[in-house]
Amino acid sequence: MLAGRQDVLERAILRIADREKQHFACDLHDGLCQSLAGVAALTSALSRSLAADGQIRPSAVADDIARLLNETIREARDLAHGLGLIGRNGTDLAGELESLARFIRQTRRASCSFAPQWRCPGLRDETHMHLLRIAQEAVRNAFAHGRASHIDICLERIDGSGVLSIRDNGVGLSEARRSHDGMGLHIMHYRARAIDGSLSVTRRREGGTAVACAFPLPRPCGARGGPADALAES
Amino acid sequence: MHSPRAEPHGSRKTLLIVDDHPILCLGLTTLIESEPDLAVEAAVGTRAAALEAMRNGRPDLVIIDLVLGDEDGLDLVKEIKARYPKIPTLVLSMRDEALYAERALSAGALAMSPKPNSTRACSAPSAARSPARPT
Repeated sequence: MLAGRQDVLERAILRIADREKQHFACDLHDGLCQSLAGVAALTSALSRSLAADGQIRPSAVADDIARLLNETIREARDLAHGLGLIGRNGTDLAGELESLARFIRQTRRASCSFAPQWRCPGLRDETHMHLLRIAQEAVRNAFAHGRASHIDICLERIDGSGVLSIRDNGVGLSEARRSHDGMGLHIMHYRARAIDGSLSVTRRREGGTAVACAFPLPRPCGARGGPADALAES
Repeated sequence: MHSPRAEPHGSRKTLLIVDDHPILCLGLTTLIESEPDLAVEAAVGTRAAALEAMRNGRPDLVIIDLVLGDEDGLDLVKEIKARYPKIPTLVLSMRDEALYAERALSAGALAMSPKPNSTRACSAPSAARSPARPT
């Protein structure tokens, strides 16, 4: 009884934390970035006006300010995407993962591929969000702890279940770190359980880490077999 | 919303800006007006205000934010395409260009431009002057 209540509370806390992150990302993206873009445009207009008056040096300074503002906009935008503008693309999970892979290629000195074996349609919003957060956390770990230079993200259907996997070529997760089970890993496991799925984090023979989350599909998509079977096969 | 200068447009190409963010509207209007051959006819923040502005005048180009508060900018693109097929639209966005460019073009937009770049006044003026613009 107590364990059930604790589970409900944990889920609620995670949901609130996700919602707050999302609000913050939206405010940053749709508020601050837009204001900065407006100020950058005004500064560009000022630069032109100064140049037309023959004030070359002040015009160059205004150009520098506009350039710096545009760089700041990009940084703020990347920060907002890092926090996860989830569900803002009006697309399915595969579309969101595609965006994540593109974002990694653009913002990190790393390559990242995404191979959608199928689009995984019809997921509940909560499942969609947990899976995307798992992918984000796995990617973050690959760079922060694994020092990876390449990441493969894959979404496939195996024996009636969905499987999201993130494999990197980094130094791999040490046994000490895995047994210590940091907060990030703990929350990834928790997210997998919250969608009735299962998570495995393994060290790859060829080097690097493989994270795989198997999850049940909505009825029209899934048929037989459960997530655990799918994970065993992946 | 920001009011553009009330001078006669003469031979200048005219633009309508549709963006719900007032600072961005002001910045874009000022930047576009700094071009000698371009004029901002109106800068509005909603779909209804945009259609109202188009009833009163025919801009040479409409610049539309992808998101207009709770409204979808692409719906406005489609509406303008249906009502005024000869007037081109340019979609601005800070979102993932790779993801939205195809949707914007499918909706009938002439082009899509990311907002940080658009503030450099590259896209809007060239789109307004573009010979590809239907007449």
